[in-house]
Amino acid sequence: MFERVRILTKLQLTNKTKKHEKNSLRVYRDLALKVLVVVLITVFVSLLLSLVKNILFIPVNDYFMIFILILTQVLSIVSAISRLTVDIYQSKDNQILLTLPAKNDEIFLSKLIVYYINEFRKNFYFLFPFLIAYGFTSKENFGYYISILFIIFILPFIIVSIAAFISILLTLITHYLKKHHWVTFGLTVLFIISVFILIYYLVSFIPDNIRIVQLYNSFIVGLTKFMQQVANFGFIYQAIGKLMTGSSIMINSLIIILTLGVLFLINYLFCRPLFFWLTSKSREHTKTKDHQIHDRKHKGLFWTFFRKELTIAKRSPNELLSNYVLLIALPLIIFVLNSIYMNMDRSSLGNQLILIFNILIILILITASNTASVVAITTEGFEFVLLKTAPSKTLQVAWAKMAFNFIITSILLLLSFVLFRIALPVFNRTDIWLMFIFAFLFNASQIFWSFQIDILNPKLSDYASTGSITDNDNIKKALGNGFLVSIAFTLLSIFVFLFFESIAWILLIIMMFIWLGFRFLSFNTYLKAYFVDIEY
Amino acid sequence: MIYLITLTLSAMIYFFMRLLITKENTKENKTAKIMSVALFVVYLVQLFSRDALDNTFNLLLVDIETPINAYDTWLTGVSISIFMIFLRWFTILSILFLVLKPFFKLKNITFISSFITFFIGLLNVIFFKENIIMFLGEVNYLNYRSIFFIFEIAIILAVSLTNMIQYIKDNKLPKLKEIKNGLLVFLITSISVVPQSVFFNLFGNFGEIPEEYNPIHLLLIIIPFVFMIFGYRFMKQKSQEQKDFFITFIAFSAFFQYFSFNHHGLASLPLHLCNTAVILMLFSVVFRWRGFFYFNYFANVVGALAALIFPNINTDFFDSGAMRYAFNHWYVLAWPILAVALKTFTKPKLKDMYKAIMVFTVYYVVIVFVNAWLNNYQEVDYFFVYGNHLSDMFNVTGIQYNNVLSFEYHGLTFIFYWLYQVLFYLAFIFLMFMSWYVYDAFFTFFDGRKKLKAKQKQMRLDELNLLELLDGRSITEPINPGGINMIKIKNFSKKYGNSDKYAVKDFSLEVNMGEVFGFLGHNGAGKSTTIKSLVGIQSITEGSMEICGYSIKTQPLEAKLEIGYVSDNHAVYEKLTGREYIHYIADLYKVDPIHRDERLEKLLVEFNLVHAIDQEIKSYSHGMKQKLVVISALIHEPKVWILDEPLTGLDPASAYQIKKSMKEHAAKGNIVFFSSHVIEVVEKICDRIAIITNGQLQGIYDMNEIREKNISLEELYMSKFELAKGKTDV
Repeated sequence: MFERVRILTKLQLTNKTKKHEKNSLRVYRDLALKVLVVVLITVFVSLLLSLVKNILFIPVNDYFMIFILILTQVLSIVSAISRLTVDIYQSKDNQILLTLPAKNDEIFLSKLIVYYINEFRKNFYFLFPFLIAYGFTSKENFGYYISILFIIFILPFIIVSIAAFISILLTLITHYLKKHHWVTFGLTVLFIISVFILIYYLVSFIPDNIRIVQLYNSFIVGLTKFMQQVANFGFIYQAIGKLMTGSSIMINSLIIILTLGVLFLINYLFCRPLFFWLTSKSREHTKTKDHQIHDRKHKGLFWTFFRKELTIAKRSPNELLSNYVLLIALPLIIFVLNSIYMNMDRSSLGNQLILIFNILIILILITASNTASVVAITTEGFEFVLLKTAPSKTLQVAWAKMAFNFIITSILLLLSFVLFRIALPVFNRTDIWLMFIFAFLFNASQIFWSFQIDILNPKLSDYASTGSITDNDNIKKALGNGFLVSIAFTLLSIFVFLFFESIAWILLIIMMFIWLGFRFLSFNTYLKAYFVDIEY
Repeated sequence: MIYLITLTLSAMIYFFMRLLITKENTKENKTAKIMSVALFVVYLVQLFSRDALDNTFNLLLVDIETPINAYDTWLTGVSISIFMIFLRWFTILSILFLVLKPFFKLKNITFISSFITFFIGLLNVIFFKENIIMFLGEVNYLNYRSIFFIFEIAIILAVSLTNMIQYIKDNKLPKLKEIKNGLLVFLITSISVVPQSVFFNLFGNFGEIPEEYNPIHLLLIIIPFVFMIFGYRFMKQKSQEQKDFFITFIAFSAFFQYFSFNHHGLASLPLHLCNTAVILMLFSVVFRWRGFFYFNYFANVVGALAALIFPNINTDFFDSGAMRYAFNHWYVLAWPILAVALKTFTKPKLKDMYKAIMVFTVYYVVIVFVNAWLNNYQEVDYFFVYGNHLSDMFNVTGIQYNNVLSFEYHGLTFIFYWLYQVLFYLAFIFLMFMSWYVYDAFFTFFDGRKKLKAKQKQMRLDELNLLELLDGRSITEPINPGGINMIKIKNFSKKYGNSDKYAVKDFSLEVNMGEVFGFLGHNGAGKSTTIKSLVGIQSITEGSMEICGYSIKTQPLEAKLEIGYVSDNHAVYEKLTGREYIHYIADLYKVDPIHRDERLEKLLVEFNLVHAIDQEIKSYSHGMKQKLVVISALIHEPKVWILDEPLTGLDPASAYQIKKSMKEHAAKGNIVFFSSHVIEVVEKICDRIAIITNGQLQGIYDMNEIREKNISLEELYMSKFELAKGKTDV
């Protein structure tokens, strides 16, 4: 059994990591580089903790450490749940793995091990340096550093076990919702309305005249209390933290061992048997509702492609929602942040800074919402063959996909700004609409740029074989580019508002327009030159 | 008398050079190089004195308020002073050309180093006395500066004369165009060695202190970028030797500019990063030391940019100190980037940056110790690692002065601000890493543009070739009118990516109308590769492929219109219904709705898919999807139907239906071309077959002949397969 699990794990890991020639020098160099990175991160985090302790006056004690542990682990669990749902139950490699001479349990276990290794890698580059840096800052004893060596192996196990359990529940719910679109729609609307109401209710608690300097002490006291309360409810993480700092070693060890045992049992008894049932579920022969189509007159290729995008989008509301979730949340974020700003004691410079900060937030959210553009061609997968064999100028597909993205994102942006205008009347109306034009142009430029990245290096085969866009380099590249451009335009905004306040918006819009022009020309040129070369 | 001495010395040097050259003709260039080094040394020696001319103030009497009385600083009349400023300027430029000339065989440079430099040398002889006044403020021929000046002029004249005679021997007298070009190059390049006191001499303190992003400061930042852009645009089409000359010229100019003033005291030693850089620039360009170059590239560019953004100049921009600061940092910033852009040095790899970090580390450690040592004698702050210039700017004086290490050695106190110095080092390393990413982004951008331009050029060439082959016919007509009833593959070869191995090699084939043609081969033999290239999914490495006379490479749209293709995988959008999918395909193949619906209804009945056509494809079984793909391939009634492994995974009834359709399609006078590794199927339905193994065509066979000769297709295939396998094994 162990041998088979080892082989299966190795197979999946090799598929997901870059292959390098085996060369001892390279291995040592890579190892040295990794150690150097960890050392550098440790130094950086140490400095950061000193800053938190000595300049921000936030107590860096056991509670702080447990709080950070809980915070990072909760984030990891949330991310792991969404990734595991795709990687375990919906991954296309299941069809290969399940046919191999191995038990279903072994495949399940190997998948969890692969995920465990990935989580361990992440922890190694963040939590390990953090825990060491914390040790330096709070001058922990030798035993603390020894305990780190055990803890960094335990933490990924907890993440993977909890995520595996929750993801299976989530998959079951998803399967149900997929069959009942109206329930999904109703729940989504209900969720959005609830969130809006909740946020509106919470915002009303923001005190008038926030004076950061005067409020700082009470803020720090409040934050410390909050961290303590969270740490007290940290269950296993509280036990881990206490064990590391040497208090109640026996009891805390027992709590940790018991929790790990329970997590193992839950996965063994509950998730393991459900794995095969869920992965082997096929949609073949499921009778679906007949869709009668209105026979429209053929109006050209663009409309053919556009109609196809629209039809697929209509039948994939969940994908649509996840693609644009940040833009949907944009008005909410803007409302919350500006409600806080509005209650602050501000100077005229402060008002300008708020405007600039709004620009930054909006640009970054637009960037993060454009992942659909950067995988537009990639998600054609094997179907791209149709475009290669068709006797038409199929590069129109790019324009159709772009138009589709552009329309959806523009509507969401417009909606955001309308809500922005209604909910925050203190802002100058002209400023809001000029900001909308600025954001609208940025969104268009970002769509062009993201598309270009995909056209130059589409991952058709990867998508066709896995059906997943996780670990897509193009997405990282597009997000990185977008982030840098957002920062650049924010810096420009600061400069323009400081030196040319009266014509600031006009200058910014002109600059954004030039940037959009450049991105459009670049996209169009690359599209004409390289679309024909895209090969499956 | 002094004129006679100068001219005699020139004549002596000239005859000495001629003697050396005549004695050993092959050593002509060596002699020139020796004289080049001699001139450079003479120039270096004269840097040890400060010229009286440099103190001349406001010759044009610009209306400014100043405590300096301009008249008191003037050495002679205004006209002669201005003339002498320009003569000194052009003399330095002449020296620069003469120093570099032996190392480059460029026509303009040879012209300048012959005629123009000779003329400048003569002017210096004529205005010898004025020159001495400009140097010393008085006439004193026995001062060492005067003596070295005699040598300077003598060498300029002798070397220029030698070059001139050689030029006339090789090219006869220069033509008007050569004179114009030479003068233009001389004038443009003169900007690189603008005397740093020239604005001060002419306009006095008319500039501004470049601080807090005033226009002068912005100018200070913008100039190197403008210089880089224009330098690159102007030089990119030139020969590599011209580019190398340009880069060498700038490196020497930077050196000349930095050392053009006599510096006194320890503080003026060239130990600041950007001051050290000018020396390293010279070394890296003369000796091609890549380590030094990449140190400049990664460390000094960052340092120079920081210096330009946060200048520590508190004098007027027209002051010689400010000018020196500006020129120094402009060159240090622009030169390494231009050197890589113009390919004098290769694009760096990551390991080059690691080497640069090592060189920087050595420099940094040395500079920290030198600062600690020399501050015992005089206040120095090389690279700002000792003083509080930067710590003040970033408000971290606490970190600097609260973390101090010190020790005594032989009565000297060595002080180290260890935390500040470590943080400074780490911050700079971080900036070097950042610079790597910035450079990388630029390289990616420019490489992308370059590839794009090449690709666009190729597309234009392909279009022109096609028009030439069509010989005046319409672009929608077949390139080969004789092949309108066939598939014609000629010497087709295919390689994937950068692989050296051919997936298919030198494959030729013709298939005629009315034939069912089988393409037989083992897994990985090259069947799918051939088919994918034939239908336009993959590119063709070598050879040509024609469908009904249309080249799939140059007339893809026309060729594809004749093809119906069934892939070895289901290329279907699972969220569309069967009907939506067919409509989508029909639109792509430009089938009008009436014909589309007629054909669809007929095919749906034929393939027994009526009941499912309005359901989403995701609910279809494997066979149903395959049938849908077959229907979509036939919806435009193609002349050529190409199928890649069409029967894989089908139940007997579905397989029978598809085989029947294939026969019927061929019977209508069309071509059916399909690949398979199932011998029985091929044997049963094909008119002709081709066997391919390991990417090579083994033979084309008529099935009727095989049947008549009673040969088993399986045995024939295996014999070909074993033969090919044997060849591969050998």
